[in-house]
Amino acid sequence: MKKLIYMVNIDDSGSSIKHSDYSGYAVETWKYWCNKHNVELIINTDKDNRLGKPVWHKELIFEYGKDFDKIGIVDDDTMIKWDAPDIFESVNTFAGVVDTSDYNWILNSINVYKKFFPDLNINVDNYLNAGVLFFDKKYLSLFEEVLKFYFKNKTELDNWNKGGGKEQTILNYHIIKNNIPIQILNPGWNLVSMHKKDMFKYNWQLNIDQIPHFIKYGYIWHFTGFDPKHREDLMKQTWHSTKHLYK
Amino acid sequence: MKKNIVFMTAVKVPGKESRAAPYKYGIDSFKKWCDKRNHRLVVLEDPIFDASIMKPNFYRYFCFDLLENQGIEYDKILLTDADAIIHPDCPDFFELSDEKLSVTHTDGSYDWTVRSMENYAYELFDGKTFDIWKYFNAGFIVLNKSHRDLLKSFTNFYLENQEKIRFVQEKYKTGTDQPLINHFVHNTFNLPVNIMPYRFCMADLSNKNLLTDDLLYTNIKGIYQFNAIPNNVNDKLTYYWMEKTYKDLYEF
Repeated sequence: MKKLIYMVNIDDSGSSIKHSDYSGYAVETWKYWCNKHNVELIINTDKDNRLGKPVWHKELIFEYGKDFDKIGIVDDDTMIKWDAPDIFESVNTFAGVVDTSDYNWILNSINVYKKFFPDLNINVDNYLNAGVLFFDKKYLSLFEEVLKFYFKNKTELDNWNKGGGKEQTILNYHIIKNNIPIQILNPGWNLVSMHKKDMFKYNWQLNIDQIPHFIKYGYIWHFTGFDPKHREDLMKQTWHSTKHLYK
Repeated sequence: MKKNIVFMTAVKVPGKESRAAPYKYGIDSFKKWCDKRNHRLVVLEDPIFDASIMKPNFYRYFCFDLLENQGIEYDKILLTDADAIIHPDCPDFFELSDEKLSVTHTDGSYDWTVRSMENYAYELFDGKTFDIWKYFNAGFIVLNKSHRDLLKSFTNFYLENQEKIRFVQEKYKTGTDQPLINHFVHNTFNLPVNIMPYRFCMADLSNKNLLTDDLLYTNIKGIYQFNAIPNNVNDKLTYYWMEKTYKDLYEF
């Protein structure tokens, strides 16, 4: 079985935060994990001039992934724990973690993008965070469809100012549209908004160790959901406190 | 005739009357939801133990005996609390639950949840922890007759270890029945559980950015738990939100 992890790592010229400032920490962890589990890692650093924001390069997975059986897409602000098991062994359909971190944002996002999908309804019970996804190759065409959708609505999407993020909700609408069976992973496979969930703390009552909860219990740490200016520091600290375990 | 039962604990604790003040809204919402679906609501309002022996949080685990003593026949049972309001169109969780114990994952402050699991493990279960992603909220547990041994064993464990349990409750303040029943399900009995969506036990509404004046949470047809509300002095905000929610959903 050929397995792939695909990560887009392209700086956004329109953003004051450079991906390259923090993505190196993410890449180091994924390199280690992929090597350990015989998974190919493709890091896309090539800006495709047909595409606006770097996030749309994720849809190119339908080309990069065509020679693989199982595929994962991960954001470049994610780090995987050194001893996380091979998730591909348990993925059969289209797997991800339900986003429960900020329903105000989620409900608004579903609402503002509904104009493109008036006949579809997203059930929040199955609304996936698009930052970490694992799936069988038969679902690659989903991303081709999303890319076509992007091209069809490029001007509007490139100038979108109604909030609700970029491609995550659009992807979720396409999941519904195509009736794709969802496999829900436990939150440990995509820990978002870790600050809101008090995951940077440790068990200060027993004080047996000082390992933060996210490191002790999570598999994929997703440094998002907070002010991005803190991202580089948090990823750097995490890397420096754990890098000896990636050997 | 057997029915599915919503078993709700709504015991008024002397000295904590303000906590119980909004229970009427929770009870009435579940009553209406049950009536519409031919389920039965059973409300436990009277103490069954002296407060020095057992907190009311633990009473629900005597549900089998309490129901049978009243001659109530049952199929599946939901254990829940009275500080929750159910949306009138909340999907029927009895239909969605299988024969396994059906619960919702506690996805709030993991600092509290992890300490809750680890502290009780350290003090009462030889340090044995369990998969934190299976840690469930005790405010929503759907079970059936096959779980009778679990609850019997659990209540016996409490009565045999009550002093130590009260000590742990006071020392760490990381929960009462919830961490214990989690250890019992995941460690002692190693039972498979059916993890149901967040909508069936919508705790920590404020942290989920849902506790808004326009009642944003009611866009998700589920069960709203009015806990972990910031600055909730004397449970006044619990009353405020429960009254407001009940009136919006049931008195239009």
